Formats: sequence, structure tokens, C-alpha cells
Amino acid sequence: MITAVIIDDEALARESLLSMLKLFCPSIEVVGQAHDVKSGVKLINDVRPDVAFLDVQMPDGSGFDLLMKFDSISFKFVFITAYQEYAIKAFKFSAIDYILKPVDPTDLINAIEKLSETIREEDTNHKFKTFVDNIKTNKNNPQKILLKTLDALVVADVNSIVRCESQSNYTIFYFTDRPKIMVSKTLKDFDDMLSDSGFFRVHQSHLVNLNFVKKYNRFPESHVVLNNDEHIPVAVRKRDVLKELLKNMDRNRFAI
Amino acid sequence: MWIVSTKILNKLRAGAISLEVFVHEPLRAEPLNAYTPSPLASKASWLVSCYQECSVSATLITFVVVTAVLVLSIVGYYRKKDKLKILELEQRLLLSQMNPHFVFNSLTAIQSYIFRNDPYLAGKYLANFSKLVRLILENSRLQHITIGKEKETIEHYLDLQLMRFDNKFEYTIQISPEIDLDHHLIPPMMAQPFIENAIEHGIIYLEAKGHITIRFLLEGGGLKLEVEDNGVGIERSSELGETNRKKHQSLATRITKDRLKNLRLVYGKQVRMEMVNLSASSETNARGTLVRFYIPLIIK
Repeated sequence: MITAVIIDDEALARESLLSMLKLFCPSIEVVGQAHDVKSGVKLINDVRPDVAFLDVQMPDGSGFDLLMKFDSISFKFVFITAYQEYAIKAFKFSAIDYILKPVDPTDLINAIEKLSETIREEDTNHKFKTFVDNIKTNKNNPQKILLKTLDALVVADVNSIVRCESQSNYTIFYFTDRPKIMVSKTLKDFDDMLSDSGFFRVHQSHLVNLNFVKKYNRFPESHVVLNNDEHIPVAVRKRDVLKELLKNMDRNRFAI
Repeated sequence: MWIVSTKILNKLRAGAISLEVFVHEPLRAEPLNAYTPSPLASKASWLVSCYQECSVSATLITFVVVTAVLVLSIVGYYRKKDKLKILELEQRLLLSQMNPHFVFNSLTAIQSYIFRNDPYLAGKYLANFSKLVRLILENSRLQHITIGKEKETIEHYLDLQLMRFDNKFEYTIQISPEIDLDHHLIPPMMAQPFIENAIEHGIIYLEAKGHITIRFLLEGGGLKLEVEDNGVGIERSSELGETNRKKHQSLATRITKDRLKNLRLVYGKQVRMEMVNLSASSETNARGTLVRFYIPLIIK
């Protein structure tokens, strides 16, 4: 049995999650509920659950505020949020699990399955620290990204990523300041995350940081040349958008 | 220098200016006494003046056309801009009333009835929610709606909030008997952001039961709309560290300001809003916030 607590200010939201856990996740036993940050911290200290389901927005603070009250987070947590654009972005960059309200039973089941993975306390804290850094520096544009390799968690500056290359279900990251790493997520996942941070998928297998693009060449085959003189192929149907993006970037560079 | 009218010639001081005069034959209705052209000179100057006359009228026509096009395009531009502005305000209004927090939390609450196996309440609140969404979609496109419809919208909204917050408050809607629900009009959902504030920033912090009173009153030929709550008040709720919800709140306040500004353009100074902190008034023991709108009464 996995013990759990639910912390949410709205009674019916707690009720809904409780019913769903009973129906779809029999391995979870809910051992307590709380309605705000203060009572939530007390509850966790009292019952020491395996996992906490946390609402993001409560009257006396957020679920993040709640986690910040702990020196070290010795339990697992899943955020459940109605709507919080910046938080969702920061969750993704920090590889923190979250579920949207109203809860899709499939999402809940998947999240519970993931709970059985063993996670070191150190890694949980690492993740949460990355998350806090991200929401503190620039809420809407996370600066740090947490990358899971086969044997480690790597926190990288988004600005230090030169490019990503797909290798079946994995993605290889190339940096300015450290050796390449292989991350266990698809290139599409990172394309979704990084496209607002100045990255562009020039090719099915390549995502490049446009800040590191030196020039675009049409011959012999479409490609971009990076600052480190690497040549990355550009797909035919990406050419026009890429040229437009590079033109806009040049304009911005002049503006600065 | 070209002079068309002899009146201008008469105004010139003697000796100050040297004049070159070309006379255009067909125009010689008032002959110039000072200058009688010889037949030959007259013919030559007629040619010259005809040429110049043509170029003058061409310039004039061009000028008029260009000005007309310019004026029309400027007028068109501003009309389009105004239309865009109204459209933008409509969209923002819709956004402010479909507060994502409210939408998704209401749906979550409805979901709880489904999984709790209470099909009656699940169905009831789902229908309630759709009625509200339908009214908001209809209303946000209109400048004015009947007070009856406004009351209906507010009721659906408050019933859903009551569901979400587990009957933590009660509400009263008072409508003065002189008001005709079907013929007196009001801009839609002016009060809604303030009702939302009253609940989510005032009443949820209360230990005791909350009260919200909404009043539609007539005063001095105009409409007075009031939202009163007994919540913790503006200052206290900002003390309680409300940073998360500020973004949406400020959006609502900005839109209300813009809407009032637009109304003021049409109806003048009588349109205004005031906010009273009831906790601050010493004469009574009341607490909470009172928001008051003065809007002209429009009759359909």
C-alpha cells in the first residue's frame, strides 16, 4: 500500500480525487486531507505519507510554498492544477509530475504507475530546486532544464544547449560547456518545450538553438552552419520558416 | 504669382509689388483698365495662360482627389481601428468572465459528483454550467442586456460558486420594484469581477458564513448597482499574501476601467464606480467591501 495525502482548498476537488483514487488506483490509501499550506505542512509532518497530491493555488500560498517549508523533501509529490500557465512550463522544464484538473483517469493512473519507480530523495530535492530557480528568475521563460540520462539527473542552462539530435527514442544534447549527454525522452518532447526559448526543429532529427546559427546555406543541400562550424541539414519544408526566424533574429540583434 | 480675382489686386498697396498680368480671354468678364493688350499679345498670352490654366486645374483636381482619398482612408482607418478596439474589448471581456480557474474548478467539482455516483447533482451542475457559458457567450457580444437576463446570469454564476465553495456563503439579489426586468437594460456582467473578488478574496478567508448582496436600484434617473460582501476586505486579503491570483484580478479591473471609459464617452460624467472599504468605516461594525456603479438607465 502506498500512503497518500490530498492537499487542496476546494472540498469537492479533494472529494473528486479521493473517489477516483478509490476507483482506479487501489494501491493508494489516502491517509489524510488538508485545505491549505499551513494545515498541509502539519499533516505531512504528522502522517509522513509516501506521496502528496498538491493543489497549486490555495488561499494562504501555493503548493510550491508548501514544499519550500521542508528542508528536504522525503516524500513524492504530484501537482494537480486547474490552470497556471507559468507553473506548467516550469513543471515541464524541471521534470516535475503534474496533472490537470479536471483529472483524466488515464493521467492519474499513469502518474500512480510512475510513483513505483524508486527515486532518490536527493534527486527529488534536485528537481524541486531547479523548479524553484525557474519560477524565481523568469516565470514565463524557464532558464534551467532538468535532463534525465540513464544514470543521472543533469541540470543545464537552456542557453548552453547548442543543439539536440534524435536517436530513436532518445535525444542527444550538445552543450557549449560540457560533453554531450543522452536523454531518455524523444526529440518531439524537447521541441515542444524549447520552441519558445529560441530553438527550431530544422529537420526531423535536429533541433537547434538559433542563437548558435552562424548562417544558412542553400547549396549543395540546405543546411545551417553553427558557431562551432558544424553543418546541420535543413528539411525543405522548414526552409522558409527558418529564414524568416533568422531574419527576425538579425533584426533583434541590431535592436540590441 | 497667380491671381484669379481682381478683388485681391485691389487690396495691394501701390508701388509695393511689380505685377505680371496674363489675361485669359474667356474669363475677361471684368476687363482690366490698366492693361489693354494688343491683339497679337493677347493671342500669345492667351496660349500661355491656357496652358497654365490647364496645369492649375490639373493641380487643383489632383489636390482635391489626393485630399479626398487621404481623408477617406483616414476615416476608414479610424473606423476600422474603432471596430477592432470594440472587438478586442469584447474578447477581453469574454476572457475575464471565463476565468480559467473558475471554469476548470467548476468542472472538477462536477466531476466529483460523477465519481461519487450522484448523477442527479452531476447532471444539475453540468446543466447549470452550460447555461452560464451560453449566457456569457451571448452577452459578451452585446452592449446592453435586460436586467432580467443579467440577474439570471449572476444567479447561475453564484450557484456554481456555491457548489465549489460548499455553501460557504449565501447571496441575495435585490431589485428595486420600479425596475422593469424585461425593458430596463444594463451593460452585461459589470458586477461579475467584483462578485468574484468578494468570494475568492474576501469570503474564503472567513470563519463564519459569508454574505453577498447584489442590488439593482434606481437613483436620480440612473441605475445604481451595488455588490456588498462581508469578507475580510481589500487590505486584509492582500496581507494574506495573494500574489497568485493578482494577474487575473488586474485584468478584470482594467477591463472594467475600459468599459466605464467607453460608457462615459457615450453617457457623460454620470457613469462612475466607487469602492468602499466597510471595515474602515467606524460608524458601523460592518466589514467587507462595497462596490458601487452608477450607470445610466437604458430602456428598450
